[in-house]
Amino acid sequence: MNCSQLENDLALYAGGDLSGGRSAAIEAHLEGCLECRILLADLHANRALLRSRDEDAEAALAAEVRHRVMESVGRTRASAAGLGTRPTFGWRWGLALAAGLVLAGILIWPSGKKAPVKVARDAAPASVASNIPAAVTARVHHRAARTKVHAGTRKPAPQPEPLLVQFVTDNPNVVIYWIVDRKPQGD
Amino acid sequence: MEPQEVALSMDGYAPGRTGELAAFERIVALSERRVVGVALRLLNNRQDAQDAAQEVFLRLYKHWKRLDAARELDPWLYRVTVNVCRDIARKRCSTVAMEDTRELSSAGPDALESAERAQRLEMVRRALGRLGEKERAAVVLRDVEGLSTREVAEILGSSEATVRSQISTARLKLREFTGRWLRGKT
Repeated sequence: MNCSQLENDLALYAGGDLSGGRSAAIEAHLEGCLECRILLADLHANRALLRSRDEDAEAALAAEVRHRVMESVGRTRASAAGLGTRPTFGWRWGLALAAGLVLAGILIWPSGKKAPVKVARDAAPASVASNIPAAVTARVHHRAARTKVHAGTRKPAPQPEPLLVQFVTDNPNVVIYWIVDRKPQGD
Repeated sequence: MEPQEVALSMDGYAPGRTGELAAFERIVALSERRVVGVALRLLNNRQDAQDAAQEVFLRLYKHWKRLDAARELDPWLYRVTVNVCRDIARKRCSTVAMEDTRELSSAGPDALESAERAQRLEMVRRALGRLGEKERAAVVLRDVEGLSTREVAEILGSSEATVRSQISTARLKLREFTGRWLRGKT
């Protein structure tokens, strides 16, 4: 076998990419061929040059890349956080209101049994009933239920009192009380 | 410097930093040298390599939570680095910039010790820029990064036989190019 036929195998041999049997054939050829030994030496030298690194230059470049990446990521996160904070408060109150409405809907949904649910206005706990003011009145319309909302006034106590919402349904025997904790006012 | 020695502190990020951000920065610190090294050899241009590495890590930020870091991170980084470098090289539509090659090869103490070695290094890197995309990527991943033929094949989406052929061709082309240069000198 002549040298040109072995070139590709020699290139693989230089990087340890040749199987055992073919490696043995290359080694046998190299023993008697100066030209192929020079070729192999050049291949080894080039591989070594390719692997050589300018450590300082690469480290500086890598540090610069990391700084730019983290700066960009920081901006992205700050932007995402700015968008995320605003709706949080409304989202929680909206969820609470939706849960109340769903609960009201379940309780007043017409069923086969006509037996009235025995929950009277007087059934509310005394502590809750005492908080019901006449100051604020609102109406919320829901598919099958007409709801009155009475909001409590604040006592001079340091902690804000819970907000009591009274749902009055079409069924006079069904009254729903919803107690909501309120956050202290800033004023 | 070993990757573990890379300083992780970043002025301006500490106040609002979460553990998640710190973990991401840690991953960047551990892999930045490999990504930058591959990008430099594939693009042979400092600015392009910097842009490529930045793009790789921004893509990593989008995907890193979905990666199994112990198993998938390195192949993912190599694959994306090769792809990003290929895209940048195609946009650039030019070959090696002489001043950039000088910059890469001039600062190392070994290179300064031997002018001929520095010149030869420059020739090898220029020759690398003349290889085809796949040949260049294959030889950089195999000979510079030391990955196995199977790993290179997986990263490049080729068969092992194809990668072996690309590596063999690339090594011979590099030798031919530098050999011509050496013959021209004598």
